[in-house]
Amino acid sequence: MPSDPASRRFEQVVRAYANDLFRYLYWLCRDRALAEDLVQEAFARAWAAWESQRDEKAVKAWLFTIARHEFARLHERKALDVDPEADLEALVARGPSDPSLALDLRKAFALLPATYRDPLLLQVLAGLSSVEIAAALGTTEDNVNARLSRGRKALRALVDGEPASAPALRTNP
Amino acid sequence: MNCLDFRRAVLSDPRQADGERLAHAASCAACRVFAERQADLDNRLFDAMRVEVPDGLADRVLVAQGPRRRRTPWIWALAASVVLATGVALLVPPGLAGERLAREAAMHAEEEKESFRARQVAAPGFLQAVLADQGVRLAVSMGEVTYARLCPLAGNTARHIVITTPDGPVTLFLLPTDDQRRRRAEIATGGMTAIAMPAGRGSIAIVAANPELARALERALAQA
Ligand SMILES: [Zn+2]
Ligand SMILES: [Zn+2]
Repeated sequence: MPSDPASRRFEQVVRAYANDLFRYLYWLCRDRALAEDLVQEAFARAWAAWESQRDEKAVKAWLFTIARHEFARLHERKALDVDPEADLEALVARGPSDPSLALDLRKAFALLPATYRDPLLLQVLAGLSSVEIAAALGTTEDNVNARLSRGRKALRALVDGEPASAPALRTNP
Repeated sequence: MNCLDFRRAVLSDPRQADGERLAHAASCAACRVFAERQADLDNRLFDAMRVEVPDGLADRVLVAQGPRRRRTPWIWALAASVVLATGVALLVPPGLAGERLAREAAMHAEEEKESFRARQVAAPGFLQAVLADQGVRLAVSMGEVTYARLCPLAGNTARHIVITTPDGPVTLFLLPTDDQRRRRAEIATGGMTAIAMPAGRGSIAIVAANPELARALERALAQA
């Protein structure tokens, strides 16, 4: 059994986050075997850089960022989400027109373009803040918030068969 | 805060409710309902995201990565103690035992197709470390380890490793707790060549697309 503090801490972190890292990577790649390989790879990198990671509170965001990087490395050559906006519009337009097509949430979530799925996973599954998500995705907080909103609207439309636009607003003081 | 700002804030994070949002929700029934429905969708979304995780994932990570890699992995000590406790000592002629391991190794490699797709490059020194655990040394480097996992094989816990060489992938199974003295056996099956042999502590099996590649790895594995 590991006895030095770094090893003990590493074991705690693996036990605490391996499952959610697997889920995160599964939703990015949709392949269980590949997701497990990527978890292994992410922890290998985390251990290699273990000494440089000083901030205890930031460990979770750091691990998810490493995991995301490992996934991205695999897809360097593929152009993912060529036009996510167009994808989302088409998806939502197709989804709710027939109420019998209302999807269960897991299927609906799988249909979201990755650019919307990713920040939702980091917020809802991993519990990261908008600032941490923006850092992980290499973008701004405003961009993250916009993606989160659009992703949730699309999900609502797919699941409930509601139009993607918000219900009519009453002007309220 | 107006209704538009409120809804935009809820959609970007339904869980954060600061004073302004609480005040708006208190005075606007439509937005209150909107926020409640969104919170409910988020709860369901959280459940939907939590897909089933493979059993023993964290243990496999700890065996493969980090400080434990340099020690005798406890899971193998455990496997050894299970073998001792059940007193499994099959009286199989060693020649047959070698052939059986080769055959099972070829089948296992064939069935675990993701092992060839994986691009999980192991840390430098990984292969030498796990081989040393078993009292074996790799005289020359064959290529990069692109897959490493613990798998059940021939009644043992085996380390299933794929080395990607310039001539294609070659699969290596390390069975450090195999207590059967397997005589060397080489078989051809389903377009693959499989070699089983005793090695240091336990046994080793090699599976490759052709005999040359399998034998090249066999030669590179010198007893320490
Ligand atoms: Zn309102
Ligand atoms: Zn295997």
